Amino acid sequence: MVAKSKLPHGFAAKAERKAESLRHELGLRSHEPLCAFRLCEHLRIKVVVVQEMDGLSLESLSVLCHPSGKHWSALTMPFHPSQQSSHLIVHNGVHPPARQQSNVMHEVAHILCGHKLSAVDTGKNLPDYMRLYPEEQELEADCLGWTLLLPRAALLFALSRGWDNAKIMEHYQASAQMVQLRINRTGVKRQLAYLRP
Amino acid sequence: MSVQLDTDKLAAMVKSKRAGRGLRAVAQEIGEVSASTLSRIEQGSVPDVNTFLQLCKWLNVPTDTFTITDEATETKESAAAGSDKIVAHLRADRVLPKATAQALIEMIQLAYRQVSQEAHGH
Repeated sequence: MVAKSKLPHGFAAKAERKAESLRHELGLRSHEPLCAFRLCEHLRIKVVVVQEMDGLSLESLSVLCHPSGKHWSALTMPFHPSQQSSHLIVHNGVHPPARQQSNVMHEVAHILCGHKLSAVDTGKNLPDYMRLYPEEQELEADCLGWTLLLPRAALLFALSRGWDNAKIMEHYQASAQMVQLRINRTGVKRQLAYLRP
Repeated sequence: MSVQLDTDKLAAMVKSKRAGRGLRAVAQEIGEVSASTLSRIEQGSVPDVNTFLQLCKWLNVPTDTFTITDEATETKESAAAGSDKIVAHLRADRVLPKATAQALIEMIQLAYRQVSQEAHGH
């Protein structure tokens, strides 16, 4: 079936270092929560929810903001070089707050990775709304986005204090799935088990 | 000139070629397409470029079999876009309902107008 793409060697470790250095730039310790919106301010990225887009037709707005609207998460575009912000992120405000954090962090990850943005061709041979889906870039942005929200240092900090998943979710503004995924991927529980007598 | 995808035609041709065989088996035959994606396309959703090209290859037809040129939207869209290439990163499902795909394009064009203005005077 579908061939699985893989992350480049060492990418996960690089993501951890990035999560740490960005926290330090913001005066945070390695294990402290990092809000995606605060990070965007720091990186001069303008973030708006779709409802704030002036001129969007009511019809489109109701499709994009439908409570069951799970089809799209966010959009990123570079600003004209003369403007103050480097990028614009438009995201889906209908998603719950934890999901918004993860959506925006994913877009920030694309920007930090310097991913080439794909062209949305609005007048050639392919239909307007058809687009490319670069699998490798998505994998990298997933990994870096998750790591920025919940770095290894944060999980070690929380789990070594006996926090349960619910407390980690609340403290780091992360969803239940995100917390479980990060615990599984980082193997922090195994690491902590070695440390215990 | 705006190009639209005839999703009804695509859905009908895929369904007809599948001819009642299992979604999973046919998805495997097409390659790089999952059974759920195939099912959604048969219900009229819009595929991404890779899936679309893969389907055209499997159906053994050129891509323009499914495109409709809509002259009426020409002025409106080119005025909104200011260019025929908009560079963006969009995080959305691989296969989208047509209404969502169209609403997203409207949003992309608005965003493009916002980001492409020069700073002075605005």
